[in-house]
Amino acid sequence: MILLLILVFVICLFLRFPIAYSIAISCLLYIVIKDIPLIVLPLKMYSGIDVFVLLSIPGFILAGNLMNHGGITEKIIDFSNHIFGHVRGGLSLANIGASMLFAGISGTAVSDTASIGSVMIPAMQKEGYKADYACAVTAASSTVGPIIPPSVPMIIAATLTGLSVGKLFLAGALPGLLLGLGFILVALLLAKNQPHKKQKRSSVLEILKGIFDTFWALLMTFIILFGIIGGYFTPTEASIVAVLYAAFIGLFVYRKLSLKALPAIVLDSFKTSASLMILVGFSNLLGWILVTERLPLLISEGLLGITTNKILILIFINLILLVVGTFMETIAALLILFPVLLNVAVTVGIDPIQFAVVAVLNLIIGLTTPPVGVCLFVASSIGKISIDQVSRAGFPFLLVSLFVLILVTYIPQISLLLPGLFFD
Amino acid sequence: MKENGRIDQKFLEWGTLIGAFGLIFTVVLQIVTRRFFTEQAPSWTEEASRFFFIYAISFAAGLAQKEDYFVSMDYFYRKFGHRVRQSLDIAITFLSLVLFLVMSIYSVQFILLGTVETSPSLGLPMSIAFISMLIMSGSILYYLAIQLILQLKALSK
Repeated sequence: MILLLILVFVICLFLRFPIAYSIAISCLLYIVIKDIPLIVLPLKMYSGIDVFVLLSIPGFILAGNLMNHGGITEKIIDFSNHIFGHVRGGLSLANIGASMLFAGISGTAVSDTASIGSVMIPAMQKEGYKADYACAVTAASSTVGPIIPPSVPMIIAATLTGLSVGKLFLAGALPGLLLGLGFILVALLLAKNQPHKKQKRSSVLEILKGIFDTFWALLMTFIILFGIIGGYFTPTEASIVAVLYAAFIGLFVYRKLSLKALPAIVLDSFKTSASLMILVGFSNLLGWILVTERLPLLISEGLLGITTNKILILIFINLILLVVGTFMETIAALLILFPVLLNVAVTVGIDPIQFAVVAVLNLIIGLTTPPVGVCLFVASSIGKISIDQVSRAGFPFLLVSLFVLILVTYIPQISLLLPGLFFD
Repeated sequence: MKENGRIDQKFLEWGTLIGAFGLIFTVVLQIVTRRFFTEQAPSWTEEASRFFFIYAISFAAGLAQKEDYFVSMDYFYRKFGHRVRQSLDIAITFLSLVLFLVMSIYSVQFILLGTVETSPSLGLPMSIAFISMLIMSGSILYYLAIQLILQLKALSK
């Protein structure tokens, strides 16, 4: 019976049903065949989204959108250009630097690719960089977003398991920085193959102005992080504080945001959130069915029956998540697989916080893995080249991501150091 | 249909905005009362913010359907020819419509179930909160029906 459910789900997914509806249709079929009362559909949807931590998701999305409309993207890019523009491969470094700074605002990789890419890809092409390289740098660097806090996938992981959002946010910080630094190293190495012009060195005054301009965006990340860590706010409260802060900065400091534009930004953020919450609600229904069928237990027993070796289990889980992440949207994959695999991971002694970072990292690597990496699609459509060209140019960056994944998987301190320092 | 389109869209947009600003207001109230007036925020603020959140999401769901916010995987779909894609689009819309029709019908039953329950802090009948599920599924159903009509018209051309 459960095989039929999985089969229907996969068929729907491949036929381009929205992922949330693919889950729901396969569940509906199961419910009808099993003669379960259909009221379970709205009931599980409601209980799935009636979770206080989830309230932070529209908050963080709205704060990111407000900052973006307030002109922060251009200011972050300008600042990164002032710092890196004069060195060889400067614009690609600026692109990565901008993504790392922007990560603290948006929390999702696809929006990073779209926002940074729409400015940086044409700018890099104009300066002589090849289009495939410009797209590859943008797609790769935007994957830092869901790792560096605030991170929507980390909130989802916390909701599924009851882990602390604050700890998960902190746990992602060092791996995110490692990923960014790795990309910078590769970009420096690849820069000599790019027929680009170097920009003139910025004056101290320009750099200082850049610091002042981006300071307000960076401050938001610190307010969120230290508000949660210091016990001043819950994650939901932190997200609303971020909304008010972003609105204030956009309206009165950057003055690029108008009161008239606010309703449209709020609506856009809630439409994005609604599509995510419907996915969460239907995944709650699927989770309930899987538990009823004892599938998590069966998978756990099956995996542990093969081996109880921690290293082998981690290799196995990484492979599953990498393959799934390549084909499936991050949040959907996380909702379906994370609780099941966490059970296995905890049994062999892996810290749940470290495992959450490993799982999210695996799934976001999928965003830049051919053939269906979403960030590759977005970048290639901005650069107006084929996804194959971006994939080939992005291969060195993919290797960096996999290297960081290995480090994070086998050196727990990378993800556990900061939560240990601030929480325990 | 155009006039109706504007009215229903405005209705959903206003519902989303009221829910969103209600959520922001109650969470701010929660922070302010806890930091400046009492040690603990009034428990009703958490419940009210959850209600506002669910309503905002439910009103926005139909708009998300209308404007194609739901993520899907189109790697294989793009390999099909135009005619196959057109037929596939109709099948997807039709099956999704069936899903949300069932969901809408059972949301009514869910609301009735909520009449005998009250929320712990606000003391409101839970059916008030459960109405959001009917708004969510009903509005998605509505836009799917319009989409299906348009797809069938395009196919007949």
